Amino acid sequence: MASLERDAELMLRVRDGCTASFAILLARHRGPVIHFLYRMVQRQSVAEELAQEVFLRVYRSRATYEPTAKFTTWLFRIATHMALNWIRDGKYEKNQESLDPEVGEGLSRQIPDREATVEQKMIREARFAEIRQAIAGLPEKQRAAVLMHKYQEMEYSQIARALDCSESAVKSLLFRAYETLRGRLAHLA
Amino acid sequence: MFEVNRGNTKELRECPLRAGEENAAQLLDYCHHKLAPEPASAFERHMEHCPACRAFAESQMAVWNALDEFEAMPISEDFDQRLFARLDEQAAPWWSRVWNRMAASGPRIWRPAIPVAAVLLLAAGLWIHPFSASAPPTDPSIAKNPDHIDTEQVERTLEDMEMIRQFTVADAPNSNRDM
Repeated sequence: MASLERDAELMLRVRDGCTASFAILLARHRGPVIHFLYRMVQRQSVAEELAQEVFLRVYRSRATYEPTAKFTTWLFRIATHMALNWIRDGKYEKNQESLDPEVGEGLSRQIPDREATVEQKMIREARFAEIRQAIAGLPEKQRAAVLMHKYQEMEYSQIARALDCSESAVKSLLFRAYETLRGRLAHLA
Repeated sequence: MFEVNRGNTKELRECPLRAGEENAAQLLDYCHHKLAPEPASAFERHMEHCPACRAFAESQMAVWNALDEFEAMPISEDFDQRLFARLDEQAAPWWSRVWNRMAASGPRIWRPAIPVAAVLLLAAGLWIHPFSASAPPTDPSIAKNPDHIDTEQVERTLEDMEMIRQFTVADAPNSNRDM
């Protein structure tokens, strides 16, 4: 609840012209938004570009902002729309072809384990690639639901608002998504 | 989905996997440790004699843990800087934004603009010309007496003709001499 009040309060200050409050909001939510978008589109440069658009929209909407919903729900609603539009524009498929170099680069950056042997590194990379592909293989709405549920720890009601659907529809989306993921990833235990 | 038994503990009325996707979501909550202790115990008691739910929970927990390995990438250090530059750009007047964009893009965008600008200037010239040709004279004295112009012009023309005639007469012997 404190988080809701803090974010909403900051956004209301942004509405009154306080740019410093926008900088605080950006610092608080930049990471989660970019990480969510990265897992959605699976390309860091695109994720950052979309995140820029998300925060630009937040700033542009400041004049009409009303704290009717939790700020993060509103923020992820914008982020989800940006990602889904990008995927539906067909850019996702085009990028999948040129994905591997960037993912390889990212992988070596995000697992900086100097103790690990070459074999261990290869196993980790293979597991990472498998998880990434399993997520990428999900239909876009299921993917968004899983990412918000797993990594943002959002509640069903929040996911429902972000995806513009009912809570029971979210439960159904998640059930089917995890069913697919169990089929592909259960052996990784 | 739950019913209370004699010992005041909640028991599952039916297997959550057979009770529809929405009810099965509670089984997901159990696997993700998001369920309250009482219903969680009920699920555990149910799973003791339900191999399907037990297998479901085991594989779901494995997936849940495996997803932790999908770590995000580090964020570019200049992310905020780029964002605030865009915000500043948007706050500027439109002509400044256009100018900055053209200046930033270099000659790549200027080159095609040159013929376009030339065509536009030409079109503007052609559009303006007929109006200027038919525009009334600005000198009020001329506007009041248009005949005055004709008389002056005729006089000037006659003077010019006279001068040309005199030159011609003066040049005639020289030309004969040259021949």
